[in-house]
Amino acid sequence: MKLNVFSAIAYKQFKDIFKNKTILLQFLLFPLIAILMLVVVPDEEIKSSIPIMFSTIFIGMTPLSCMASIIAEEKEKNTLTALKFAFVKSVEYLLGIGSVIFLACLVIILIFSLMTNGEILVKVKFFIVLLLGLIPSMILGSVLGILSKNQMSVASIVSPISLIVSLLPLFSTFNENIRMISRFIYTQQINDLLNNINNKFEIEKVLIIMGNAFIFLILFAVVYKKKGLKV
Amino acid sequence: MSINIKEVEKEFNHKRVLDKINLNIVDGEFFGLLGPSGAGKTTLIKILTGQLNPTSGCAEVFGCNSSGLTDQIYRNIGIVYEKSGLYDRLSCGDNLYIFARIYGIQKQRIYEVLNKVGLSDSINKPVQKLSTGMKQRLIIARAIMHKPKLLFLDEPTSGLDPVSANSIHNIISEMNKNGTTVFMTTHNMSEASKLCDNIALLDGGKIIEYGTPDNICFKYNKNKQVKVIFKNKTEIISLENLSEYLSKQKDKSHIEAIHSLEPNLEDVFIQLTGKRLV
Repeated sequence: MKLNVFSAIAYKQFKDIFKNKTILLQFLLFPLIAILMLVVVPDEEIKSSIPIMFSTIFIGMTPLSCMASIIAEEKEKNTLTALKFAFVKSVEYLLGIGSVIFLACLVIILIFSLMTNGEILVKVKFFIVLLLGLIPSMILGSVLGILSKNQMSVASIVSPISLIVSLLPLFSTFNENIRMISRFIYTQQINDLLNNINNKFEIEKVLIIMGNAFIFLILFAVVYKKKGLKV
Repeated sequence: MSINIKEVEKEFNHKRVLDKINLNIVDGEFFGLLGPSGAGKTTLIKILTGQLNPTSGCAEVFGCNSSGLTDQIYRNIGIVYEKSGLYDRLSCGDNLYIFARIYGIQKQRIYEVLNKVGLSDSINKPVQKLSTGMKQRLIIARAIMHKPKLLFLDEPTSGLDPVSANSIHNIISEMNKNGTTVFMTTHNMSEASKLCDNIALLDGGKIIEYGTPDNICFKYNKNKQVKVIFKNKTEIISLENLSEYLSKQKDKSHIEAIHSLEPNLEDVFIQLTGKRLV
């Protein structure tokens, strides 16, 4: 991988992230609602669940849809072809945009971590759990971006998947059958880990998250080999 | 030799789009591929730039098979195609800066190319606020920034007003004078006549004529007539009678101009195919 190419793509993404209102909104929406609710909700017990609920939704939705929609937009607007002519490799491109999305997500999960009650160790654990969830979400987003032809098609693929992934933990609290399924999904495990943040990390839950990431990585390899970043 | 195309054929769903294309384009040549929409011009450019593989035959760019163009070859070519992507939300300067960084070019070159295409005042302007002509000039700036030896232009002035088109003609003409080989597709015959050293007329995926624009026009000049324009009248005279006709004129000061009446490229295309170049 060439560093100058990686940094050029990262520069592009860094500049664009502040000008792309749709992406910016996806990053700011959940922390802003969480902060607002923390201000207006008086009940301390509900207050403590707000960062958990919104950070889980954020992890299930934002990295996934951002990665997918950025790739789809570049396909639609032919900028990806222009990069190909400048001998940019698909891996360099994905790492370039991925690094910026990753850093932006780190800032947001840091904000969520600071919203939690408790000692600094609790906040660090909260941050690490969300960081774990970021990885499968970004890989899944890349898969969906590769599968999409344009921005129209990405919306129809990403919306249902991101809704399922991010809202399953919430629905599972009301229905045991949903919980049976959702316990195999990484967002459910993140939610569980965050709800028990004061206890020891359950290795089984971490393994399920890593397992999800591994499955998405295999899926990514298959899709990437078959389709690459062809327009 | 910049481009060497041997017996290239391309089929989409059993429909032949290119049929046994043979072309050689030498270094420094300005070559034009002329044909109506759907003739196969863009398909040929896509094959040459490695976006499509030919069904049969072989296309080489700088001696390298176009199906597997190396980074080194891509470094030596610039490509302007109809829907070249620009980052709409970013400024002109940023759009070029990204590619300058990829190519490892000094920042100074961005100012040089923006100046060359007349966009130096728009360096901080977002692309989405540029006119179509300005966007096309920016795409050309991006394509020439790394000083390519070979420039592919797919309908570079399509949909542009005459002033913008003329400005683009000047830019690519200057590039060619400085030694860049140009491969341009167009359906604009006046553009081809004005700029190209050699042209090929493409119809239904086949090359139906090849040569310099002048030679092609002379070849199909069956009537060999000239138009003599006087202050108050115009006469069409056959070329062989011209000297006799002029000697008979008592006062030659009444003659305003004499024009040859060979067909233009569009007339030739109509003669050959019965179709217009649109």
